[in-house]
Amino acid sequence: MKIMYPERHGTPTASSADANYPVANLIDDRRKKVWKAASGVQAATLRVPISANAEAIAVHNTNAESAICTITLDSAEVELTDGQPAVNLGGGLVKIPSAGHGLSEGDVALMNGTTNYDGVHTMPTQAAGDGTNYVITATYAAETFSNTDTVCEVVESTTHTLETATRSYDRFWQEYTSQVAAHTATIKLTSGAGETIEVGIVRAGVLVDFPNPKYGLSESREDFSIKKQLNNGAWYIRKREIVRTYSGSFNMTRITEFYNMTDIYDATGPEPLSILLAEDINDLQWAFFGHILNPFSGSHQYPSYSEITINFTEAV
Amino acid sequence: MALLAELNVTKIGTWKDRAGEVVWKDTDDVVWKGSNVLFLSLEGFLGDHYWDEYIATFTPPQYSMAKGYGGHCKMSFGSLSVSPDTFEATLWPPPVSFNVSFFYTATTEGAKETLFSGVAYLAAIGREEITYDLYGEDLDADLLLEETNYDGDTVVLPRAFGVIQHQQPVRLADVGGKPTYHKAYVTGTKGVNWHVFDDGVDVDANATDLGNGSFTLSAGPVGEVTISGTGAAGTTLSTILTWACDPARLNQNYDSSFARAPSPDINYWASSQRVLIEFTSDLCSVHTHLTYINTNTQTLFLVALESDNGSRTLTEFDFFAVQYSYEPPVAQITVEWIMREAVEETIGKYIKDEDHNTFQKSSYTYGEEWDLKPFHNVRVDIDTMLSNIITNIHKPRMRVPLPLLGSLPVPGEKITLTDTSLRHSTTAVFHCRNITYDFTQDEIMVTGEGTIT
Repeated sequence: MKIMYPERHGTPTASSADANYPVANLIDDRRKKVWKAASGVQAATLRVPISANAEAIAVHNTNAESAICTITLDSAEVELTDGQPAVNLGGGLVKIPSAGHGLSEGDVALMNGTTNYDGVHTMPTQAAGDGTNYVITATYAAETFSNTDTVCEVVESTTHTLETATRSYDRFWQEYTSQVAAHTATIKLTSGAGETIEVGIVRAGVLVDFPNPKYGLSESREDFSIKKQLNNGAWYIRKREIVRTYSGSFNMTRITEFYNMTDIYDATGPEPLSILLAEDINDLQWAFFGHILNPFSGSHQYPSYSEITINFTEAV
Repeated sequence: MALLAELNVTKIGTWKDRAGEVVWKDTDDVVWKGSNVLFLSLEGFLGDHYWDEYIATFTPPQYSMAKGYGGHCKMSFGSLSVSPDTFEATLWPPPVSFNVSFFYTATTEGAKETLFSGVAYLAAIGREEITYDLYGEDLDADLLLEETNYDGDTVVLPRAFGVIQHQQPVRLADVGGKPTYHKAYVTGTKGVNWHVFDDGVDVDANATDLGNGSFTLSAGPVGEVTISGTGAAGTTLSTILTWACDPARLNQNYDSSFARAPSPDINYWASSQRVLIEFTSDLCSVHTHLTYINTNTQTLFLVALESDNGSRTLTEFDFFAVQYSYEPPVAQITVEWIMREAVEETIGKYIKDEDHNTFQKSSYTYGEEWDLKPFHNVRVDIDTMLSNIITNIHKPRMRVPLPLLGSLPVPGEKITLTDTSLRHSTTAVFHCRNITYDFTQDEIMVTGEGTIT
């Protein structure tokens, strides 16, 4: 189990937003209160500023079918040259103007802010490039860049498939190499046809590691639906929010893990946390944003280990 | 069905610049536009924008008919409790008072309908909830106007409804040195449609209509001055409600589509001050009508208890367990009224108060005995009125909880249902009178009288 604490994210920006569902909704404590792209926009990019030492990011309650989450160091971000155009080199190669880009063949870079070239690119041969231009493999489209367009060498990039043939997930959890400096997560989200992309929660931060729960972790649901029996015995039902609940026991080393847990609970209490309840199984399944509504209980029954029981309730 | 609440706290807001030197405050004429309008809901609503799930409890709004046999179905609201999260630090402590509107919608924010608009007034600040009492738009218009009388006292001006006989008008300050009286809103031409009497003697010839709602007498009266005539507000229940809905009074649109035809006659001399809506409620109840106001359309509806103000038929998939009850029986209703007549006896002519009464018995001799105040003076009409009331109050009462789905039932709507949960299958047909809309429990409680077979 991993708990994201402390959190290190700032307020995200979005390539598209419904004015009534702003990006500020991404960092409140409610999954249901979402950020939405402008009506009908199925693909949008979130950029999440993250301060030093973070090593994970999680997204909860999204209708995206896929997400590409790319981590870049802020210090490595370079502007494209303002007012200069992309140049068609032929053969599927495009020359991009950017002084001081520092990119070499084989490097992986993220372009952001452009109209036609956003995304992750693996640098092809840079024979046609130089210190103020680099070359990417792309379908040429005429575009003149501005200084809000950037390129940055990628630390890590992961594609998350949230909708499979058998199951859909409304979340993803991505761990990455801890960054010693400020960095940015760029998340390109794509929803299904006819939908407007939306996300409830984004969290990024440091991970505190705990053992996985003991066998017997119980999972249930808290159902806020209204159910009443009609005159003939049938049921009137209005489905409302249903959230996941878990209850499990953990064997923790007392001196580190147990007291790490107490530190976290003392600091956050019942406020929601982003948690990976069980690692090395299926992060999509076990990623969780919710509360420890009641203080956990532990027993110090071994010299160096303590067993604790925790109940988790997903945030609405 | 989603309940939405819009809290407009701007009207009590204050703002100051960063140096803290200049303070702006809302006034009646100037409101800081666009600030601090809070959008709340019971469970979070994804509309044109997000309605935060900060409503903790909301007393179910309800229509309650004034009496078991008619009257005004007043929409009442209790209180609203919200999460302390509703008010950010800049709005803390919670504002004492603000305008609030409640809406409901089964689909989108654009389709929402107004349930209530009024004022919220802070009742309690708690750790878990902030509670406000809700106050509706008061229908506080008075029945009668006031004016200074001949003696310099402020008095109410009586009003004639329907045909009145030998009622005493208020004497106002003299005009041109002549005794002047208020006409009590009788209409038409003096000497033709209305008349003036001095101790029962017609003195129309001495009276001059000033055209401003008053008249003068050319000579001082020798006895009691009275007038007879017909009130400008009309002679029937429906015409009087038309008058009551005027913008100067209740300020409502008026709909009498389901009122009784012909509308019951009213003959009444109103000389005591009352709240107008309570007066019309009493008029309606004795004539087995109800009124209610749709705040969304600002319309007052007059509905006869026997009329169907819409209808719906329910299957057993459409309602929860029904309760059936009867009101205690009424053995007899008695009505007494006074007719003022000009009589001539050995002492001469004068205005005599003649007592009248009538009663209607039911077949339940062991029941209660009631006295009612009529707004009429024609015995046969009063007997009809009593008969209608007695019939109505002995009908079975159905109390039916419904899921909060589809269109909301309104007072006067007819509901038909068949209940197979009783020993024998039972069909109930009744009209909605008291209705409670419980958005937190997703339930509408409808109560009304009708028939069971």
